[in-house]
Amino acid sequence: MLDRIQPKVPASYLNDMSRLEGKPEAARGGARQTDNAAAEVSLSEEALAMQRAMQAVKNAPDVRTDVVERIRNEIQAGTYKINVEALAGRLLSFLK
Amino acid sequence: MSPTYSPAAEELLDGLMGETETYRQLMSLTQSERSALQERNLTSLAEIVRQKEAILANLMEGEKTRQQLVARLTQDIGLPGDASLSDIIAALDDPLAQQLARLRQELTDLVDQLLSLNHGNHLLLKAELEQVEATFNYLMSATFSHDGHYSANGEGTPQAAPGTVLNWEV
Repeated sequence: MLDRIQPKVPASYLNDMSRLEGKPEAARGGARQTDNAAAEVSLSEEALAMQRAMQAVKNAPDVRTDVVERIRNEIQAGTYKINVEALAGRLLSFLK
Repeated sequence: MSPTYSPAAEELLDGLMGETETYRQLMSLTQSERSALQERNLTSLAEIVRQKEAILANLMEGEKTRQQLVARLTQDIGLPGDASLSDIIAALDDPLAQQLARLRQELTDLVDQLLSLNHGNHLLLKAELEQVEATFNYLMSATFSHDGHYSANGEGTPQAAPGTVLNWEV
């Protein structure tokens, strides 16, 4: 009964599907490949860019943007380095 | 100048010993800062920077106290107000003069090391922030270079602009 409604899929078709499983859209294009070549190339490039972005996220350090912003501001204002240098400089001048 | 004594000299010795200890803490934090930078742990780095700021505030207070003490001491022993520690040591009796001379050397070495370490950290931090910024910029360009609209068919289905929803053509 079920077979009549949903005929068995030929084994060759299943083999083809399993081979293509997980491959990019471009690899599954078949006949459409010729017609949509430009679009698929573009899609592959986007997928690649996203893959690179995800890899960059994985490799990125544990970052809190507020913290980064604060430290960057201190560096730009010069306070990060100058505070220590000014204080130490005055002490060294007394220690001479 | 004949060696002399002032109670303020004892206080100066105590004060400098306290400053030496605080500079040791600052040195230790600066070393931790170097480790955090090498591990690229900016969250830990922010906490270290906060602690450094507290120590620096403490040292600034110590500096004010020292300046008042030196003003009193130089007046006691007849030196100009801007006299250096070497001038003061030369005017004091042993063993206080020797103790101050040892402390002077220790503190000078410590501060030299601190400045060198701090300078290196500053360069490392600048490089780290540049890298973080470059990563952010890259992610922003990779993620938001499209209009951000998705449909069942995937990205790129344009969304009608306000006021044009019904302005379609057959």
